[in-house]
Amino acid sequence: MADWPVSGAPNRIIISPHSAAALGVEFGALASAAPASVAHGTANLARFYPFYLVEPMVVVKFWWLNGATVSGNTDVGVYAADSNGGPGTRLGSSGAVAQATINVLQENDVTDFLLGRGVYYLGISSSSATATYFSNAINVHFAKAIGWAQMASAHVLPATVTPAVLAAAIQPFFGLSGRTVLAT
Amino acid sequence: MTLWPEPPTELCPILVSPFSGVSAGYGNLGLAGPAPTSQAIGAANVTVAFALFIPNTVTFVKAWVVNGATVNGNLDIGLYDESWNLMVSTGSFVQAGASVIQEQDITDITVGPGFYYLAMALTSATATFQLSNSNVFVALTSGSNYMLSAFPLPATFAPSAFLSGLALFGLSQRPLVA
Repeated sequence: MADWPVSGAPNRIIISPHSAAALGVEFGALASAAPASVAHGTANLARFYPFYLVEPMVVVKFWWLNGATVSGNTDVGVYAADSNGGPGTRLGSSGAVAQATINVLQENDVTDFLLGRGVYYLGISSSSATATYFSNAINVHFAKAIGWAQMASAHVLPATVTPAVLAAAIQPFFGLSGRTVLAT
Repeated sequence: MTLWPEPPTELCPILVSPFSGVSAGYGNLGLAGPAPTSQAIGAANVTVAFALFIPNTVTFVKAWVVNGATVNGNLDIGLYDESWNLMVSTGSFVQAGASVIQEQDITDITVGPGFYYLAMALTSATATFQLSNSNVFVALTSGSNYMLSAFPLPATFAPSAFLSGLALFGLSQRPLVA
């Protein structure tokens, strides 16, 4: 029971770019197709997707859904929105983790860290162009219109992001979790 | 800007459009609106507007639109308050770049929680945009409106009809859009 009156919907326990607190409504309203196994496409490329938290949250895990081919290392993290509203400073990440098993959810424990109410970006990078994740692939200009960003040569995820013009609209199914039991 | 602390509700997305949850996104989702395709709005010198709920104080710095396969004429994108008074706009600019997102600077504007309208005016009946040509039900749930003989964006908007479709355009809190 909270010490304060509840006046809005709380955070969800697991957050991805597909969440309502991220881009879930936009995905639905734009009638995007269901995620399928899609290759990352460019080695060491990082991709970023905005989301928000309505209240503080302790992050205990990162996770991603591997596709039909696993390869190289994956790094998932969360970034604060900078003063311009784009992805800025890294607040926590999994570090490089070998992509392990095809077609399953893979999770990675991290030292618990606290995020306050605010706007953030989820980031994912892979060392391999052929690594696959279950992903949405949409019109690149639609992707720009809902706030995606990317950065080249960004594996492992860098301490700060220098956003570049979005070149390909691939959005893996990945995210963070406020609970420890996720894949099992 | 409100006199009261902002409640711990949802936060405004970095980029807002009629497809956002703070606009007609849930309506289009719930009523199974189709994916946007290149289509003309089909009238010259009109303004279309969509209701927008801003849940927290934000500053918008850019306007943007995803053009369709045919670009033509000029556009004007802006924001109205809930009483239909124009708050900020790009002013007239040439629609440029087929099938790409086009961004336009605006004077930075900070707005508090409340209801607003996203609006776009156009000079050409053949100019195309990425439109989800849904139906009147989505129009009703989205609060989309139409005003004739309204280019550039008028100081006061006078709604005259519903628009059956959502256009992919909007405002951004960050400078890097396109």
